[in-house]
Amino acid sequence: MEYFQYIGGMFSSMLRDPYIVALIFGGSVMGLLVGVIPGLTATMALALLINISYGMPLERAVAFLLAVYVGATSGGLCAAIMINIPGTPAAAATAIDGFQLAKQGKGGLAIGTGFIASFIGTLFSIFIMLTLTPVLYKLAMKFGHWETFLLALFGIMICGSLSTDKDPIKGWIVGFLGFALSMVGMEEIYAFPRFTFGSLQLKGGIPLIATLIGVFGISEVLGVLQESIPYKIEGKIGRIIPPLSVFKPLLPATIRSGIIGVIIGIVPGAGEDVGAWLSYDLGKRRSKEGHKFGTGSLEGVLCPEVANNAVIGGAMIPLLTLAIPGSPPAAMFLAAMNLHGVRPGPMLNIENPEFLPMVGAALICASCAMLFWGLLLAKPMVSVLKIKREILLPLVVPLTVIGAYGGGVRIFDVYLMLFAGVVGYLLRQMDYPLAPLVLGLILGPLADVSFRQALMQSRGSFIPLMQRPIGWILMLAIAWLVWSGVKRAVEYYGKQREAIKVG
Amino acid sequence: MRKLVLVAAALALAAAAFVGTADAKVWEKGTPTVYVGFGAGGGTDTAVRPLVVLMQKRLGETINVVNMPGASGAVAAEDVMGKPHDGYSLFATGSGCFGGYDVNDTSPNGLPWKWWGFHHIQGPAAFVVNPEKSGINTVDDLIKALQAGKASVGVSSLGAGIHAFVEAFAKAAGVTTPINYVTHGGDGKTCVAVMAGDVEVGSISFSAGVDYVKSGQLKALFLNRRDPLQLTDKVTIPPITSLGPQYSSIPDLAETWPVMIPRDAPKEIVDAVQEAFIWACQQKEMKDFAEQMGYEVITRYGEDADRVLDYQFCAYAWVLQDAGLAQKVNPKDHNIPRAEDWNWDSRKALYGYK
Amino acid sequence: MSGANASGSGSGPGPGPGPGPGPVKLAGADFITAIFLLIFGAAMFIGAMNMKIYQFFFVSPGFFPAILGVLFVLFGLALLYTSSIRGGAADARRLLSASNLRSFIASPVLKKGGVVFLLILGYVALLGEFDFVLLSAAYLMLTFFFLRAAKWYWIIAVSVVAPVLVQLLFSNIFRIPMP
Repeated sequence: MEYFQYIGGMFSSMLRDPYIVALIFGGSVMGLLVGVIPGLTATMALALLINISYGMPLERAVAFLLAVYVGATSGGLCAAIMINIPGTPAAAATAIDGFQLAKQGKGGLAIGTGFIASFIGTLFSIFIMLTLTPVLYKLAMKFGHWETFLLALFGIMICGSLSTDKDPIKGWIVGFLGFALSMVGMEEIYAFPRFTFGSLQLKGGIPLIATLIGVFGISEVLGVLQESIPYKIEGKIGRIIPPLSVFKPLLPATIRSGIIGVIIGIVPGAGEDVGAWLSYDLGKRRSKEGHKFGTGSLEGVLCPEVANNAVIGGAMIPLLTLAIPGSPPAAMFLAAMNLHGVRPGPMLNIENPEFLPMVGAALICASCAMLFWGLLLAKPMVSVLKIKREILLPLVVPLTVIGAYGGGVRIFDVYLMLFAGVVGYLLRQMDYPLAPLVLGLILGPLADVSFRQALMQSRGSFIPLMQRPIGWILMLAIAWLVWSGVKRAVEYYGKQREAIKVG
Repeated sequence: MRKLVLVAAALALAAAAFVGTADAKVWEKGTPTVYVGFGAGGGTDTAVRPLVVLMQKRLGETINVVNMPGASGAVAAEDVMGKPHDGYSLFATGSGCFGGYDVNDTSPNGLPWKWWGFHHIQGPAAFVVNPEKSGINTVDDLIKALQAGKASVGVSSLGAGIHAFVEAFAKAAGVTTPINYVTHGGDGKTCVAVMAGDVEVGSISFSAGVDYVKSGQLKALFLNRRDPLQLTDKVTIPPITSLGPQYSSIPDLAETWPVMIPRDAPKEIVDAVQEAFIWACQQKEMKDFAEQMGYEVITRYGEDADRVLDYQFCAYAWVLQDAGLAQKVNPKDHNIPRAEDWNWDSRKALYGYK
Repeated sequence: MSGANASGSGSGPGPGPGPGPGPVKLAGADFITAIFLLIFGAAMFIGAMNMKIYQFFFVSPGFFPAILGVLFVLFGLALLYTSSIRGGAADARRLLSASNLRSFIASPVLKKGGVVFLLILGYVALLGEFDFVLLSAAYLMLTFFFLRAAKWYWIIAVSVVAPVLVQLLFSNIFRIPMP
């Protein structure tokens, strides 16, 4: 109890400092804007703002950076819902149902739900972080190479079900295509160049962000603008905050997504994006309304948005206890803290006992500021929806260029984005889902490297790997995914054959 | 409309935080950028940023830090070398990467003698164990376990300083069994793997493990330096040289994270960078940073920097070759001497360091 | 996005009305994709097998590419089968026939999409050569005029103001590196 009073004290001291309040609100809106722009991510925003935060006292720097972090993680949902181009990889799952809702004239509701879900997800994970850190950090230690590999494989296998009512095989094809793309470049263990054809740029690998905006952004621009009359979204803005009666049945989904987010956050290597996808897929399987996922379900927006924000608190757990960041933006935060002379890790509670409550209080403030801006800006953002696509989509093109360039500062990435756009466009025309491509690209390297590291550890033998309990749980889960996927594929083709015979 | 005003106000507030001071400018035409060859938040990124921040403070000008990861920094090295050598593009990486640039042919233009290097800190390597899980408590236990092929060694990545350190140690200790390595992609992760018992030994840059050793979760067997390190009242870590005379030949390959600028960049900019670099290294902030991270401030530049980096370059090139990791070039074909044959005067003459 | 078939030229062999979902129509495209996947998978497998082997095969760089190669071949076979039962081979022949290709090239959708794409291509190709704001303004103006997106004065206003704002926001406030 004393502990929570301590946090309360921290909280009120932050609110009494007007400079901190300004930094939190300023940082939050900056984060949101960064998140909205396709390709600009929380990691990048933090990397760019670290130098600025260096000049601030610790408390202010923590508040500012966490506000940017929370804002950028949440902001991605806006572009996903409004133009069907996820602003960050973490929002790619949100685009599936969010954009359908927007097309149905419920864009305001989708954005409102998304921000509220993000808020709840952040708060949930902060609560877990503040109460269960001493227990949960052990989970991060239990996740060795083998478990990481199985988790990545599990993530790739859900590609089959992300294709909604389409052919599940096509989901897998695209997912493994993403995996194959991630093989290009110098691999991480022996620095052996794979499929680089002697090009230095290819030795650096296929960058995730540029591919993401190409596949989603450029292909959307091409696909929509080629139509003789691009679609329009009409109607009133409508309500932004859904009535409480909508939320009540979503409570189990919220808690489930929160737990998924926190766990994925704790696991090193998997970040916001993976949390969102897993939560979306599980929501689809577990929910009574699961069949509506993909057609414009509010639950389909809620699940990934709760989860991707819940990753924030989860990622703080191994960061604060083991100095191992659970996600890429958390790694940036760690770097910033090192600059400020705070060294997270086992000595943190002895050397800086006030740091964990400070992070907790700052995260709470940051999520409040995010919700404030999110709901305030929801209406003007929805009005963007009504802008003619012929104006809106060309305007997106320079932004995608900035996003692709900013990640690795090379023009090559921009060319690659364009190429990925054409590939994405073709895949879309042939009824392939695009989301698995990005999931494969994110998880491919993780699966590849951790599998090989696990076998280095066991000296090439599978027997020691079979003695790891978490591994067994994951293997059973994967077996279940494969089985249900194959079953779906067989059913799908059965129906196709029937349809042809009848015809 | 009111909302727009609110947004504008918040942005203005945030923008106010950016306003820097500027008088006599080193970079008159724009903002210089340091291209860090590894990802945001990684070891190199973390090590370089404090230096840049302090140099920025000294010069009163903004210096951008941008991450351009890929091919162990080679993508960034080639990119900076491909840009005009006008002093506006700088490069930062780990000192252990250059050997690979040559033997893997990833950055033929980014080899050590093409740059001026500014090395602010260095971190010694260490061997850490978890006696409870591995049963290894002393150096003798370690040598026995390695010889019996019963201990895997966790490293961040192959071909860098800590890998070289393991090979050198094994050679000096008379271990003849090939060592089974497990990579972890980071020194912190190696520590966690040792604690969890996934690997028996970790060879790490000591900065990453210092807190675990302080808190008693890991035991450091020895450090690659010449004097003992007293960490706490109870914990003193011996230097490798104290283990016996056969270890005194182990090369000092402590990793550094230099900021580099093409050698033919305008002299006034190089001089200004050097002056700011020296100043930054003298600041209390740098000392505090180094101390809490387990680093040592070295302030190495000019010929001193050239000499040490060239030595490391040659040593690493051969480590890669011996471990079968040189993908393209045999160091012999590029006249790279082994560490024991290395001689600065002949190297200097060969490459025209000036 | 209703799967507007790239062929753009009406119905496939699937008989007229009925549920006739997109995939039936795509039988030919799937057939071609399947053959492409078979070649791609085989090439990937061969490439992987030629990679260097360290210690043992499981930890070598070629392990996953080899598995992926095999998987693509399997996927290719599955797709070949599923498209064949929908008459994929015949539809593929029809798709690639000279008359269909001619009508495809002449289709208005391709023309419009092609110009939109070429404008983006030109924009990206010239990135390093010109100032970002000027180039973006030119790109936007051309695209808007081509799409007849708005009245001419609006077009000019938006294409000038937007890049300037973007430059201000990203370059000056966020300090994001710009091309």
